[in-house]
Amino acid sequence: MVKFIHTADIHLDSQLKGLEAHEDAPVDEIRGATRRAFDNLIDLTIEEEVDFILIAGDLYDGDWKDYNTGLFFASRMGRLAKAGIKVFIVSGNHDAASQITKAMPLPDNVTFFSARKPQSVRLDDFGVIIHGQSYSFRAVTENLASQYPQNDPNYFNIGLLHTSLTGREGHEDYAPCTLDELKSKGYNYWALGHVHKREIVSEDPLIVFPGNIQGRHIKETGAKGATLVTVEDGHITEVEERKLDVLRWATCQVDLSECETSEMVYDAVRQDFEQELDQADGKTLALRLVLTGRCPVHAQLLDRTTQWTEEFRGIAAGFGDVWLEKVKFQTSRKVSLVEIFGVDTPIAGLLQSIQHLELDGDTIFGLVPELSALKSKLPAEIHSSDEPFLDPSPDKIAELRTEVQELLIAKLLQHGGTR
Amino acid sequence: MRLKRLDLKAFGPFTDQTLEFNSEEPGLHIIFGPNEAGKSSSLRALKALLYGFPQQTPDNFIHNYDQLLVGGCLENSAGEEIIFQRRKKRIGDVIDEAGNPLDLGVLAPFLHGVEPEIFESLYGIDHEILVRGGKEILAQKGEVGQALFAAGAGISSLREVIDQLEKEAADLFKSAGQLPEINKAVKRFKELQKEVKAASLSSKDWKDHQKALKNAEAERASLEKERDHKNTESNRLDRLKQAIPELASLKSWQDQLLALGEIILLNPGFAEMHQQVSQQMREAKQQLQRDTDRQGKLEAKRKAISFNKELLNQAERVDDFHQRLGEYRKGQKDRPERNGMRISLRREAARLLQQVRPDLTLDDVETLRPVLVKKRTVQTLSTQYEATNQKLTLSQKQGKSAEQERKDVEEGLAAMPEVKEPQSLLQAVKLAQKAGDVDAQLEKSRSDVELNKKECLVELKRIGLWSGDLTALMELSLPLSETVQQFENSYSEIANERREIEKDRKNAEKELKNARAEVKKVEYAGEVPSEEELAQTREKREQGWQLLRRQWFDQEDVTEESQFYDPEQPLPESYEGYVGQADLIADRLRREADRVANAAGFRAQVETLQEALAENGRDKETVDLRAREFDEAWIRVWQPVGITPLSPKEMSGWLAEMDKLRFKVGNIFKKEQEIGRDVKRRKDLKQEVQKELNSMGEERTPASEEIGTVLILAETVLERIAGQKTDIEKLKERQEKAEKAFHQAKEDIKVAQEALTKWQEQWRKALLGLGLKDEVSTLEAIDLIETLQSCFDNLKEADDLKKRIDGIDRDAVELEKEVKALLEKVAPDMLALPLDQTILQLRTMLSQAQKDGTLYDKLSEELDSLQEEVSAAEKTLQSSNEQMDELLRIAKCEKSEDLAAVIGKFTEYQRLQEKISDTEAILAKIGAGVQLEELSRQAAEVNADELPGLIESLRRDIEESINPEIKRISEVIGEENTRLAAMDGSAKAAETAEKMEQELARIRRLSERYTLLKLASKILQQEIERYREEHQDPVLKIASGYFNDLTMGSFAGLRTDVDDKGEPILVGVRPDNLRLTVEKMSSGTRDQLFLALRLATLEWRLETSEPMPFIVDDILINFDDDRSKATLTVLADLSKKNQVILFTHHRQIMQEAKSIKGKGVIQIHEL
Repeated sequence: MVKFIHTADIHLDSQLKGLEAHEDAPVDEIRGATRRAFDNLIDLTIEEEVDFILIAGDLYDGDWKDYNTGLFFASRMGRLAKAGIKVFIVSGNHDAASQITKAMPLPDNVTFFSARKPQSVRLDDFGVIIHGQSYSFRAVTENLASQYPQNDPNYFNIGLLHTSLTGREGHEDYAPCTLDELKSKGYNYWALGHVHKREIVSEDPLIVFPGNIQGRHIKETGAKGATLVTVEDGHITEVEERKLDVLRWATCQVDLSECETSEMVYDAVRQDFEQELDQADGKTLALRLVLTGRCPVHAQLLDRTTQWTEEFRGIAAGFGDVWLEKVKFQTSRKVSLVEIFGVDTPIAGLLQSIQHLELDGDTIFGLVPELSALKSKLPAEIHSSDEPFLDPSPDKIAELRTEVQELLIAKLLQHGGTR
Repeated sequence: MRLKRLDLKAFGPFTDQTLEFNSEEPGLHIIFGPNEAGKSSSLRALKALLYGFPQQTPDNFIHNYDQLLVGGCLENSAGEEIIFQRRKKRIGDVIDEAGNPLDLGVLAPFLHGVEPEIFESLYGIDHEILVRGGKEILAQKGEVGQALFAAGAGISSLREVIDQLEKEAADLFKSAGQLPEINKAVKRFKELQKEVKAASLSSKDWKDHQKALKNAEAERASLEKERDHKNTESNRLDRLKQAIPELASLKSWQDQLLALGEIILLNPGFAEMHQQVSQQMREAKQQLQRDTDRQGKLEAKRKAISFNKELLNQAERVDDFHQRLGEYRKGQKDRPERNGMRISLRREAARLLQQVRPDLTLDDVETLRPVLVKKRTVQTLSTQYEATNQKLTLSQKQGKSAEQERKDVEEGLAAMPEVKEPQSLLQAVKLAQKAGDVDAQLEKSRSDVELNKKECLVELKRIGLWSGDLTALMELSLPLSETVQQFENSYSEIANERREIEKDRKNAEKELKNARAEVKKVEYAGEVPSEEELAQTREKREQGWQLLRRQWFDQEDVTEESQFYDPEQPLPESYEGYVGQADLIADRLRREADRVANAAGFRAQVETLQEALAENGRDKETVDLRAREFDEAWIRVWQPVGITPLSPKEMSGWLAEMDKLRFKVGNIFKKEQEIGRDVKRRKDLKQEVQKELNSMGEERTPASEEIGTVLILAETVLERIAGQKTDIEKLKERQEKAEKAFHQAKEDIKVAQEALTKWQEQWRKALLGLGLKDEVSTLEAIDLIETLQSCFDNLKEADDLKKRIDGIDRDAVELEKEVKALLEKVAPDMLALPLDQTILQLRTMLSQAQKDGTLYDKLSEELDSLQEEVSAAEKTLQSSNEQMDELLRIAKCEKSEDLAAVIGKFTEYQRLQEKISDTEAILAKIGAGVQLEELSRQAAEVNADELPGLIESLRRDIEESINPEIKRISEVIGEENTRLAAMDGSAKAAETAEKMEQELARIRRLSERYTLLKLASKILQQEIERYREEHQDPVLKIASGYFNDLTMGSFAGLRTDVDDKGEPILVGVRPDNLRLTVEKMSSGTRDQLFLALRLATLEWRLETSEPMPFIVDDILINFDDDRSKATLTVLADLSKKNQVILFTHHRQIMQEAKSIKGKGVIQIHEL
């Protein structure tokens, strides 16, 4: 019997994005999440007494330069060496960009596949042959798989590859190849990496993206882990997903249609938090709260978003291990604004102006010159992430427009003469 | 939309109150209510009706939350109406009049989606808003845009909104600030960035340090090797340097040993042994001499001692005497004192006896001792006497009082009057009471009957058709309802048929009209070709062809026939004409087939419909006949009653009501009979009670018909009798008690007297032994016994003293006897001395004898031990001599004097041997493993004088050059190791980067918020400007007019102007064209300015939007009379187009409103 673990996209020491620290936030629970998830992987490997691990690329994060990360990795490889467990790694786009990859000497139990051409390693003790090729630079756009050798019928064949296949949403296209191409190689198992969401691409032969072992931002929700594969007499008998993450990301959408008072809002939010927590396997949660529904408290919500957010954070803090990532106020009023204000009231005019407002590109800076000053003061990192500041995409502009509109309506109705 | 009615069903102070707003025009409605009348409640009720109840309302002080209910009627501009109610419920609060829940959507066509906040801000104005709006205009110095926008949106504090947005933005970010949150966050972010950089380790660093460490380690290893080598050489030379002098010494010792020649080898301790033995012999001889001298001296001393041995043996007795001597002396001293005490005690006893029994002496006193035994009995009896005596007195007293009570009660009983037995009266009364409050019941029944009768008559009149009294009504014979039902069915059948026929007729006529129209339509569109026409034309064509054929083939003359065929033109043309015509018709028939078919269809339809109409007419006649027959039959049915009937359905209702009424009347008659019975019964009861009262002697009975007064009298009599009875019973009870008490007292006296007699007997017996001649009281008797007791006590004490004196005498005689006996043995010469002196002398003598004895014993002991020492010394001497002989033999000497020389030579030999061995040991040590021979060889090879120089040079090399270098490299290694140890894969940089990321998230959130706020503020400002530009003219024009009206011409209107900064501002224009900025207006005028703007935008809005009621809540408080009237006039004017509802609690305003003429409809509603 042969047992191995297939993992990928560890992005060791990369940071969790979008979590704003605040009082009562479970800071300690999320510290060094990728390291702790990696330690969970090592523990699992040793406990399960597997024969080897496959790491299908993106072990390190491209931008991260601290060599301590490499040293940490080396020390964990040392643990595996003591336990007699072999490790097989291909590099991915991130590793290719990382300084650490090039400098790190690794113990004898670790095999790092060549980037020049496909390499095949035979493990005669297990009757296994592993084929793999690393990335030599970041953006590999050629089809690496096509150069992989045909299967060796005397062995259990494993292909180790970092690829986007024919393209995966939210992931850049690297080392593209088709499913049929992979199948044509006659391997028993394709251990892929690059896509952060777990996916069994094909059952026969098994072609698997194990996903990353720790979600790093709100788009990477749900449980994360590695794939444990058992092979008996040259046939796969079991494929299991093992959860390894220490922090769980989740989006919590709460419908407030029935809520008429702030107490009811808090109750609804609290209930949904509880539900999310129940599903989190006892892990710390990073939650995004999305409030929806046509509801009576819409105007109150929009008028004081900061205070509400504080309240929701308080509720999250009450649960101890919940970190409220962000609150999105996407509720709507019961009746459309145009319907309310008619066409020739000032507010109706205001609404129309907002709708016709052009906010893309430099227009917004022309409209509000202070924003240029702000932009120049902000750190460059704010522009380079997944959700750049002042994102000029049409969706974001529409969102911004709605937000401006709702803020104004709320302010005008809540603080205009009637209150 | 306008409000037509507001039903305050259950709300605030209201219950089922209605405000009707049913004017023809929307109208100005003034709702007036003084304080507490519920003006605010009704305003809230209006809002609740439109938008539901808020969660909490103060209007539940009469009706609970679940009872609150408002209703009303709304009408929209399309003329639709809705009547509905609202209750306080979260869901399903809108209900119809019957209380069934309505879908909220039914209100949509009336509210036009205007939310409550919007409604309040656009269509509501109260005093507070007005004042705020006025102030706001001042604060903005009449800035036109904001003033217009605020007024138009119903928002008075627009500036506040912009300020709020800008303030929040400024708290978030300032371009040059330090404190705003984003600035702070960015600063923190940059600090963290630096921290990450500091904590990060580059891979090159790590490699460099790794390499440096390896190099340093290699270098240190090579230096250490060199140092070891030089150390070895230096050590070798050092060894030789030390070894060379030692080697020389060794040579010299070895030579001396050779020179000593032959040696007698002795034991190692031989010399000591020799010395020891010589010493022993000397000491033994000296000891013997000293001991013999001392023996002689001690013998002489012992002989000189002599002492009294007999006395020494009696030492214990002498001590005993000495002890007893103390006691003896004390006895001799106490004796006379005790004897005196004894005599005085006896004298006291005699005196006490004298008090009790003067006739007796002390010798006879023992006869009285038995009395003492009874002391306790006497005491007990004495106490008993008190109790017994008291009991007797008490009983006698009780006896007397009981007798008095008995006498009193007898007198009371005699005075009581005789009581009659009320049994039958009681029965009669109870019987009457059981019938209840008969008077009231009767009264009520009578009035009920009267009332019911009246009601019935009224009812009868209401039902109508028939008249007469109630009795006649009951006797009236009415047709059966089944009969009427039958007629009703027939009636409706006929009506139905009629309706059907009429409907059919109408339909048929309508259809006929349509069909005809269609036919016409077809015909107007041109002639319709028909099959007949085609057939005819073809026939004609065929005829032509036959003629032509005959002419053409058969050469016949057909001129005549062709003339006939067509007189107009020659045959061939005519034939061609028909051929063409036939083709044309055929073509048209084909082409216009639909039209043809339609035309045919419609024509057929016309015919059918005409037939149907004829049929319909016949049906109608039949039905009319049936109806006439029915009417006659119907009237016949009602002839016996004497009325002309209405329709069967109505008569069915009439009949039902008559039945109901007749039933009611029947009940009334029944009731009347019951009343008659009750009156008789009451009379019987009353007579019974009266009879009984008379028999009880109560003659004055009331004469009225009612029973009540008689019953009251009877009850009074009964109560009185019952009172008397109770009194008698109480007296009898007392009598019985008094009798009992009297007897009890008698009994008690007897018992007490007996107890006293018995006591006296016991007393006598107890005092018998005392031998008293006279009677004594109990207290005296106790005193006598106490005295006797003292007498006996004194006698006993005297006896005790006597016994002590006797004891002293006995002891003294005994001691004297024993001393004498001893003296005779040990010192007969002392017999003559007094006893105490003798004893003391004996003690002194004994002491001396004891001292002498001790000295003698000590000397004897010392002599014994001296003898032992002498024998030991002799033995030692003997053994020493034997040892000396043995020593001489070993040393091969004859005399002990020769021994010294032999021992000396041997000692020198030993010394040399030792030196050699020591030197060899030193050399072995110096050689450190190098053999002595090797060492000698190496020593021979070197020049001893050069050695120090060579060694010094090597040492200097190591100390001054190699060691410092090793130390330096070791430091480098240590440093590198520390560096590398610090590169331990720590997560510090990663963790700090995480903090950076968290700060970044914060910056992002705040920046987005900032963007939002700035955008909102900017857009709002732009919009204000835009609105101004767009609406300034029309709205300002309207507002200008309103302002003129509201200020009663004090201002001609409003204009725009520009201020110093070129911003547009609002100014008022006086009739003389003087312009007045808002700062210069009074606050009241500014309020009116704001109101003018509000009204203007409302009016402007009316042009595009559905009107909604304009709710005005007491805005006129600060307006003077003229201006408030002007305002009312303006509102009344507006109310032609838009409903205005004005709440006020000033009667003045109501009156002013009444006086307005010709300006829309004004309705006043007083609460």
